[in-house]
Amino acid sequence: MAGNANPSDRFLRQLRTEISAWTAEGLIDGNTADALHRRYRLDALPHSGGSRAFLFTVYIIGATLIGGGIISFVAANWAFLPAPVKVTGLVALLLGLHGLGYYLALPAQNRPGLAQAAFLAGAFAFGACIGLFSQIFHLEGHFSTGFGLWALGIAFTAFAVRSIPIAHLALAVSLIAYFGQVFDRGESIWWYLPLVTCLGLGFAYWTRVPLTGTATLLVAIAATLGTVATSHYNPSNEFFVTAVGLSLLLLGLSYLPHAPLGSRTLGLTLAALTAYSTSFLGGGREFVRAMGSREISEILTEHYLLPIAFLLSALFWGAAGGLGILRRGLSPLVVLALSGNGLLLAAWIAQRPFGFTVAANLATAMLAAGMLWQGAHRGERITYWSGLSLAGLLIASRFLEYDTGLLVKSAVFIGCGVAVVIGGLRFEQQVRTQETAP
Amino acid sequence: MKINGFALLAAVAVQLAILGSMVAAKGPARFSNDPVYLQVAPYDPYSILSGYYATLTYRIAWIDTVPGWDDSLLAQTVYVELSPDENGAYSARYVHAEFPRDGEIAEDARIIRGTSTSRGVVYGIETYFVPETERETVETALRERPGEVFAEVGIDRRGVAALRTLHLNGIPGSH
Repeated sequence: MAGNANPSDRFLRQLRTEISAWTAEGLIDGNTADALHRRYRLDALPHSGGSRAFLFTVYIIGATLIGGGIISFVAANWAFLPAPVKVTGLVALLLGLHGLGYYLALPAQNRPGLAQAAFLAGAFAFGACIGLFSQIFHLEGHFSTGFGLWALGIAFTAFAVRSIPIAHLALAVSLIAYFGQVFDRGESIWWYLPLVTCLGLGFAYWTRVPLTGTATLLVAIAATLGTVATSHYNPSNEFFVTAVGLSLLLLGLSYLPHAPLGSRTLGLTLAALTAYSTSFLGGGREFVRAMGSREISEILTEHYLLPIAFLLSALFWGAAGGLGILRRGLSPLVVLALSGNGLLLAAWIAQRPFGFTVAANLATAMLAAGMLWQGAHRGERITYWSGLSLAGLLIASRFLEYDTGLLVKSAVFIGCGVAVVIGGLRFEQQVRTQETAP
Repeated sequence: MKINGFALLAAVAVQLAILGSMVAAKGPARFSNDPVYLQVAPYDPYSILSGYYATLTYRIAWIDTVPGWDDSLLAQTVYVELSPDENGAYSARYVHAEFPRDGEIAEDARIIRGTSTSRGVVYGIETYFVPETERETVETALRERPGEVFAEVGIDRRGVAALRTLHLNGIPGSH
């Protein structure tokens, strides 16, 4: 085939529609239409992308229901069959579902949706096998171990068959296992965060599915914050450094090709929340006091989360620098977020309560200004209103916090309120003018 | 959609290996020929993944009055020497800190390995999955006739124990 050797499905579907129209209008005859159909193999093309996606969704829902049925059946404990029959049946089911998926994916069958559904049902069957084997052999263990083994087993399948639903199932199951360890057993698994981040983001990049990247980030953030929340010492320090590290990581990731959806928004939100939540004078004092006489290096190396967060940030920033930033440049808002994070870290290391509070306020103000500028400059309503809200919140917090006269407070509040309303109205007016312009 | 058959085969092999490793740790104990019978006491929570199960405790879990015990063994691995009574039920006779050598124990005695905790010795045989259809029967037996309920346990040469089944009406074949 001359020209583009691999035309997209979208082009082919459009071409098929056009050929029908050209034939109906008499521009081409039936023979030419058939020749074009043969040349582009249009008859092998699924009827439409929408119906294919719908069918795929139906298959996945069906497979999930079948999987749930298998697990319930196992949970009922299947009393009437002897153990060897149960084991043989379960292994046969596991092999059968994977074999069926492979068969349906063969070019001769060409049923990718059904094949993925069979693989997904196989992933559920593996979970059921773990439960049933525990039953049959009365194996002891915490439930999180079972979920961990389930996640591990199906992670391999996700890579082997490039299955996005199985990858998402593995992420969810692994998070249950991790939370089981952290919350129920009170034990931390140091390698969970780097492993799940590397595998999930690697899978997302390999399959070019940004949604999987986002799911991985959400799992990583949930795991990190969960661990920090249950940490046994100085949680505020860990929370702060981890939040800054994650914010850097997310902002860096957003410059990668096929970046996880929403990674920049998540990174900016985290930066804004961290700066604002540490901007209170009383909180700043407590925060710095919590560090006590310990060295920064001691805090960073004492707990695995902190070095890991920074290591990952550095790695991804390195990748982002090579791949994206040089080509596209940093947006001013991201520069402000990075500067704010840097300022906060520097003040934290200096261990000066007042200096830290000033830095946190500056960082919040910089982010608010950046959002306002970008929102107005690019006509982004959400960014503009977020910046305005952050600025209003910062000013209101300071005047609620510090001991000033009621009259001054009143004047500042009214002034802030009027400024916010005027700013908002002017912005909306500007956006409307741009929208109605010819 | 192109699937790499070898990659799929490897993934399924990993899953089978995981399942195999779950069973393998207690394989020799499970399939040994000479089980011991231990009297049990009940407790039954609910498992998310595996249906109903009973958490059992055994008379041999409480060994602080058994010869050989001293407080330095708390939170340690212990090797408990079991001997059978006239009905075939095993009870603790002596507590060893190390696995006893040949000749150090009686001919009819067995050694079971456990970890001593402040809540008694844990032997890794405390979970019994109850078939859903038999739940009430098992529950009633454990609650109303605990003296008649015995666990059939296999023990391998290292002292590792595996729970095989529960007998609700005394030891099979005993009078």
